[in-house]
Amino acid sequence: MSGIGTVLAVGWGDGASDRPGAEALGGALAVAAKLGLTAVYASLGDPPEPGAEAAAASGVRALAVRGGAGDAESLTAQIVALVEEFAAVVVLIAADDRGRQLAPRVAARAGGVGVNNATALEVIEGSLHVTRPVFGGKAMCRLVPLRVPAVVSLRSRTFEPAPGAPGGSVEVRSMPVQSRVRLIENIPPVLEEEHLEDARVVVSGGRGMGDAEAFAALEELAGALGGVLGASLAAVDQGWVSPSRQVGLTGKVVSPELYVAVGISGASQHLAGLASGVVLAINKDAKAPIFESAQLGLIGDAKLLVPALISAVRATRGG
Amino acid sequence: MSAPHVVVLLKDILDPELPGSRFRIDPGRLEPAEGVGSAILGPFERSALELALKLKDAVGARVTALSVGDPGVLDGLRKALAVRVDAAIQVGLKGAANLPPEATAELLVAALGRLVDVDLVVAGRQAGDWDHGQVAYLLAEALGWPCVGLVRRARYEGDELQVLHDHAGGQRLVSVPSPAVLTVTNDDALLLRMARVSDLMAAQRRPIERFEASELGSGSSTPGFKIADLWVPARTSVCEFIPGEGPEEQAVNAVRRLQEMRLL
Repeated sequence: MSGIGTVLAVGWGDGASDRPGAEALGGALAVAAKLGLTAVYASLGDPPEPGAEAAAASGVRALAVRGGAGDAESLTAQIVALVEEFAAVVVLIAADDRGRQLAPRVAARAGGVGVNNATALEVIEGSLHVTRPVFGGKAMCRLVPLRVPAVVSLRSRTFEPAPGAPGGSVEVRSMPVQSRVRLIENIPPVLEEEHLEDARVVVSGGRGMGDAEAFAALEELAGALGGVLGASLAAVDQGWVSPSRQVGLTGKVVSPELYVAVGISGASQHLAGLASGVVLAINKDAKAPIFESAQLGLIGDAKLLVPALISAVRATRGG
Repeated sequence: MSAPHVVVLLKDILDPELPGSRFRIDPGRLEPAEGVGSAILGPFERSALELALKLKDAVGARVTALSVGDPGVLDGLRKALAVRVDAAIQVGLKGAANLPPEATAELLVAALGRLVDVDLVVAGRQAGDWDHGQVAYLLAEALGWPCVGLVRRARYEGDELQVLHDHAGGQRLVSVPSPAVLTVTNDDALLLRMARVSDLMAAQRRPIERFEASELGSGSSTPGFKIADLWVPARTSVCEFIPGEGPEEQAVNAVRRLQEMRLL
């Protein structure tokens, strides 16, 4: 894998954050240095994701590709064209809703291999090794791609964002939009005041909350702590909370300083979404697996403990 | 149009509810240890099955359940028959649960080649064991069919297939030409329906067609990756239980502890 070709990092705009693209670039720079290759950055979508300028400012060849609503069909064709143009042997993208679809599709068309949800990349004796969670986070797997390009989607926080400042010189180009899927209606995301992924405190509820109404108290606790509401897959499946709040293997990855898990059993699938932070678990079952992963534990009824915590936090903060 | 033929892809996986503390690896084979837990229909496959059944309810779609699986591991196909799919087919292959995604996709392409007039393939967004999240997308690429991921609703408006799916943190309603592949995500409207008791009993007697993997002549191409290691991460956390007589005292003590840890 060493010597010839490039490591291509791709970001796409969602109108909210350029962090996923910057993290992909951070990974591309690290991998390219170890493989003796150069890194290239491409920003896709409409409007283009803003990371291209920062990439260019840090000395990386950077492209901003205009055009297209950025569905998986059109992104696949665009990334495959970039892979061919830059002879990419590694392609790094964010493991978000689109990235996890793109990794296998781009790999299939480019004759390579896709790997989803990477949490670490290493270069060992010139070969790329990719670590990823399997079995709902109960185990970790390290695998070695045997073909190029290796198209890898990265879970958030796998790499630090590449440093860079605005103002770099970006190549702007248009690429054809090729989608067989026709858009009828776009329902944009509800913009949250603070991103779950960036929150310093996350308060999540699970099946043990019992009903949707109980989440109002959790949101109040999150507010008192200066944090954001999250949820487990079980709570989302019950329809108590929006899927955009889901923390876990199939949801978002969070890395707060404090994670309050209320009525959450502690399934590996959920814990796979917690990259770091002190866990305060609240559960009436002292044997719940969540306590095996928590640093602090409160045993009791969440319906009584959550209001008591809100009062205690407010009393401390003079609220 | 005539009633569409919908093929739903099913996979029996190691029970995802198996506690992490009981999960074991076979270090020689780099697979879960044999007998560590039972194999059941995966959660995302259950959503895919329900979506297919909703199309059957709405427009009389003919639903075929197709699974690449170990001979004898039939939980998903029996469940599918119990909720009244029209046909069930197993591509029998020992060790199917640990087959790489490319090989699984190859077998499914070959199996679909034996079926007539398939309009739509629906699959779970990922199998909840190895969590590759690839097979349906590889299948779509191999077939050259359009593919929409993370679908929550699907309906036919006349001949037109319309689907609602997750996209960039929001959702989109799109029109998809047939034939197509959809991956289905979890949604409270896609909780798999309960089977009637009489249908559960009848499902045990209904035939499951078998395609042998060896006859399909696929699934043995060079794998795209090799597994170098598989391990269970060590759990190092020791939980400090916060004392207190009643919730108010527990809460006050918890807040004090958070302050000591500079988390408040």
